[in-house]
Amino acid sequence: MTNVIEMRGICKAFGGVPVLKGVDFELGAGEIVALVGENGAGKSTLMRILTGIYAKDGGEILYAGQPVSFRNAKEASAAGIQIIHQEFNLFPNLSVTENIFLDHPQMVRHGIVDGKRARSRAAELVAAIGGDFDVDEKVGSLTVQNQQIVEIAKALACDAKVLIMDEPTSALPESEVQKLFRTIRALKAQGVSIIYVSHRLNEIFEICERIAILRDGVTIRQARLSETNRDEVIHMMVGREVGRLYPKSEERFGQDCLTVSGLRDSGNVVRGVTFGVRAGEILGLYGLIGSGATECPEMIFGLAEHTQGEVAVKGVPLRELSVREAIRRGIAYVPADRHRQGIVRPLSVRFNISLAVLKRISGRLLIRRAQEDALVEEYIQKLSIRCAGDSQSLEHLSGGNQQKVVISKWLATRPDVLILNDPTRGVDVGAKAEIYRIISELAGEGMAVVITSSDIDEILGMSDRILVFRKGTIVREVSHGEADMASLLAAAVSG
Amino acid sequence: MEKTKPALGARLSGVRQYVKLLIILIVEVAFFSAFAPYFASSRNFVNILRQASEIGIMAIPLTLLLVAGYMDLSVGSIMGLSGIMVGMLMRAGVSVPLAILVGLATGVAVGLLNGFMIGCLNIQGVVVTIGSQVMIRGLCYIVTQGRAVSGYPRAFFTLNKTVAGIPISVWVWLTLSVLAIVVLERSYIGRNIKGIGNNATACVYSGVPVRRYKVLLFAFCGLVTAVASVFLISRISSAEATLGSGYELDVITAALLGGVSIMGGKGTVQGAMLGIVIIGILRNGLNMMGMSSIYQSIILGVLLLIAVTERRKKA
Repeated sequence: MTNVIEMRGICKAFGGVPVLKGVDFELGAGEIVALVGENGAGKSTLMRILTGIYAKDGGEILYAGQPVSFRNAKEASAAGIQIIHQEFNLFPNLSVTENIFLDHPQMVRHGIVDGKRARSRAAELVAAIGGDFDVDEKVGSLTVQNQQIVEIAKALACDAKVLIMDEPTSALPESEVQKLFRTIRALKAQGVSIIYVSHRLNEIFEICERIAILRDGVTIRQARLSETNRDEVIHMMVGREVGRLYPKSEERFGQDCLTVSGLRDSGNVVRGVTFGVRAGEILGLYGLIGSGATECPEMIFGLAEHTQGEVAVKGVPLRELSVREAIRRGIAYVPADRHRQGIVRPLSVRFNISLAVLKRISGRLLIRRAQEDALVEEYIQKLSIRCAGDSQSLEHLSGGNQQKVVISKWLATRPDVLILNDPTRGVDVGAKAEIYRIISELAGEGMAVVITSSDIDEILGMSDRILVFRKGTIVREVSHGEADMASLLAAAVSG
Repeated sequence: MEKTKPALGARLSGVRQYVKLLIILIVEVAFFSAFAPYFASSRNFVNILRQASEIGIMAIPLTLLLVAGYMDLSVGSIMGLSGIMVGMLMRAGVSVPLAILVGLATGVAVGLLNGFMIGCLNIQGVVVTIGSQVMIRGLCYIVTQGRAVSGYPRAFFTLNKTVAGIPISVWVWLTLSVLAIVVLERSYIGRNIKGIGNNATACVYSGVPVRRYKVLLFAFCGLVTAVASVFLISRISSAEATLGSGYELDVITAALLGGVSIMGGKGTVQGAMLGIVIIGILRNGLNMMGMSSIYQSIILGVLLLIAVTERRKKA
């Protein structure tokens, strides 16, 4: 089989941190290849280089045998390489036809998509990939699955020869996945080559022919799926370096530090959750979206309403579940949405680090400068935050350093309990390892840590104990040694 | 980690943002000194400050509100109502201090109402304060029945006196400004105000009592506006239903001219005060040259647009 795409020795670094260190990747004509790797392995960076969004630092790309180097997404698109992002790029108030041909000079006349011709062509494209809906309908009124078909049709309308699908099933309900697979098979039959980026191994083994596994910016293996199996793939994805990425401090647990009993809310998102975390322990909460695994910490920290239940720190119950009471009692919470909830982005490192302890470092009214200097300096050093001084705005800091600032802010409150929600979202691989090290050290110093994450590897690697949530209750409890990805997923899906 | 250097750099850029305003100020003074008769006299300067002091006092809490990302369009009406209250009480024979106290309480009450609607019912500040602006103004017409309230006791006019050659209202203005500058730049309250203006959600997540800040800032705004109102009616010795109407725009214009962002999060009290002085001098000088106030507002508008456009370009 001839290769449509051959990427050889692709390198890319951001701000001195290498993300891709010589990645090889091949895609045969009419082939469906899975691209897998844990978060931060370099999948999206690689795809962004292929589609011209990033420039590569080294290596070469052959497209239909010719060396190419796209300078922007338009060039890649014109050459027939299309990407369908997780978040769709559609206009909900325009019709299917209009969405499909919006970027088409031949179909647009006087700024308006040309009626009849466009409509029949749109209907043709949609039908060819198994879509069964009216092309005059507004995209906003379609189901997510049908919106995805519109996205694909849009790509086909641009003569896509290579289609990259980024986590295509993440937005789909379970029942619609098979329909997507029919569409993908139809595409293959039309000679389109597909790169299928996903975490979901079951789907990959069902629909793909080959697999490419990235880890820490290197291609670990490219193989036919018939030559490998799930366990081997997981092993290669996570790698032997798990130990390094998730350093475990020696396990010495103290008394129960945080206890949660009978936590419940009116919407039944969390229904009667009870657990405890000991000093020095890292507890992982895992569950699918809406299972309560992320909602539970929000409730503990007073960010979401609750109707019943009690939270206690070191045996003494909180008077109420509110942010201020939680902080007063030594609970700290690193939120998932860093930009919106974690940092005050335009302001300085200093401002952000001292935000939660302003009262403590102030007299009646004025902030004690020397005390603040010492505090800020301490955490910049301790967490090695890379910034051009404490007055630098967070605007220009990397995601990893921003996150370290958020953690610093909370450490400054000297908490007994540290809750982290998706602590490494949008953080590069290097900083990720640093953050893991920091968390482990904190636990080693006797802090009780709770981690909830969308990244199952993170939960598996970091936690001393894992609670699996499903439909608002804890359905399983596993300790570090006995947990594996398959069993966690199984518990999260079917309890 | 170099600590002194960035701090110095930040301080320099802090000064730099006022350079343009200072240049405008100097050019203004030079121009009017040359072309407006009687402009350059110490008596006129005192007069300018006296006239600017009421708007200046009002601009202080409004600047804090703007930096925290909120807006109060009802200050003109608050000024009207609290002034009218003070005037009517005094005319009814209530003692001067008590009348003033009730006037200030009126301001606080309206401010608290604004704050409650915005902070606790989560209605947008602009919407709420447009509502209270119209409502309070209506109240002004009802209580005065359209007639001017005047004839105050002599004791009330001691407020017009000068101390060390400077009117009391100007002293109050200066003192409040200095306090506000210290609070905004050096205190935890100022930090929280800036934080809320830049990202209120992150502040809630960090345990800042954002709601309390909202309510108290609006209440403070009502209080200080009432203070300004007391000085205003003692200066013009009368209060009518239209008292203070349109002042909200003057105050906001000055704050914007002084570099306060209408989007919140950015701005200083120093800047806003410079804005007040620049506008005060401009109005005074143009008056002396005999220009009608209609033309004055055109010049003012152009000045504001130029200042804001310049800032945009840099950003």
